[in-house]
Amino acid sequence: MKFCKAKLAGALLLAFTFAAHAANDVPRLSNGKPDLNGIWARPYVPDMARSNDRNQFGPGELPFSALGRENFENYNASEGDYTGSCMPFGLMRAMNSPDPIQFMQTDTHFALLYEQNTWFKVINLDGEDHDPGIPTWFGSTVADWEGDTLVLTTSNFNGKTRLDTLGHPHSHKLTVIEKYTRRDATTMDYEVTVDDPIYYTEPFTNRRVFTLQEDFELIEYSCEENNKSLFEGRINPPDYDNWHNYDPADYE
Amino acid sequence: MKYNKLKMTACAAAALACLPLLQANAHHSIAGEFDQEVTIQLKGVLTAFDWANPHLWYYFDVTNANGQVEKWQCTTGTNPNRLLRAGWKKEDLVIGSVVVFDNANPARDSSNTCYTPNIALEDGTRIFSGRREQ
Repeated sequence: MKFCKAKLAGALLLAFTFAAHAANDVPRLSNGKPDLNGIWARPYVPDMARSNDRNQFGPGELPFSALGRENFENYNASEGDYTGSCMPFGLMRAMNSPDPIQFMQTDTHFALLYEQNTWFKVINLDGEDHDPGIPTWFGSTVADWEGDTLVLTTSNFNGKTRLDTLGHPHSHKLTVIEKYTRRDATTMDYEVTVDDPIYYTEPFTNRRVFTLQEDFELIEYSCEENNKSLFEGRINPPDYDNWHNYDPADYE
Repeated sequence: MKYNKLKMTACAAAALACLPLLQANAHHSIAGEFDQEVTIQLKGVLTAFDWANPHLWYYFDVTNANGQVEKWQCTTGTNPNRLLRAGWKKEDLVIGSVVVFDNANPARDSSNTCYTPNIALEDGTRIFSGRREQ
């Protein structure tokens, strides 16, 4: 019994030591918050349902509603491709991109600088709703901290994008909850929950790991500069009149 | 729907993450523009290429079975930003080289346009793919 207690105590001490070590590896701002600054490499997530057992973990099957399944099964990028047309990717499609992203964090703001198409988004960290009063491509975000995890809740999307390259749909009623947790000196956990009451029967979650790239600098990326596919007519902008299979007036 | 798998380089050290050297086209859906149910093999003389975003395009002359020269253009889906980080430079590919596109997918509009994940030189050397060997 004494031996078992000793082993348990040792294991607990070891676990605590590892946890303390990991926690100590997380740099912090002067305000005590974890420092999320830096340029981060991300896995490409063309399908939010899937996992690669390495740095992205999806739910396996998405909980489509009847409307969601119908919309997805009828999606055909050859009939209209918004990303191929260099229109804004929207929040999820931009977060699923393989290109680096730079986070710039202060006491008051958190900025996401996407190398893909050189987009950016600035979020106020005051916890207030800064909804501009119009729906947007990247949505409106309320920021909060849960311990050492930055939680970003985004809604008020214009519904003109899709979740991923595969074309999983989202409605204008989408809410995205993102959780950023810096794990140690070089990695960050990113967890995103998609909550869309029109196209899915319940929320689903996708997780991935970002890796700090200290030797990177962002490089300008103009989607429009040589989009031959669009210029030569092999890609067309979407038919937004038929993008959704529901009437928004039914969900106000 | 088919799409290319993520390829990873070997990690330099345990503390460093593998840098994904993507071969899929994250810009847009490949299947929307190209017929991925069909594959063709192309070989020709490189006359020009666009080192530009959103992805590189290659222009080459293919001599067909009738001895006629066909003008082709193909893309591999990657972009200069990723190639620069992988150690490649625009000067690594020389105009006039014989280039080979294996397992290319033709464009749905039936033009002489294709997509392929890889471009190789005549001797099989992959160019603008993976990390450039020093």
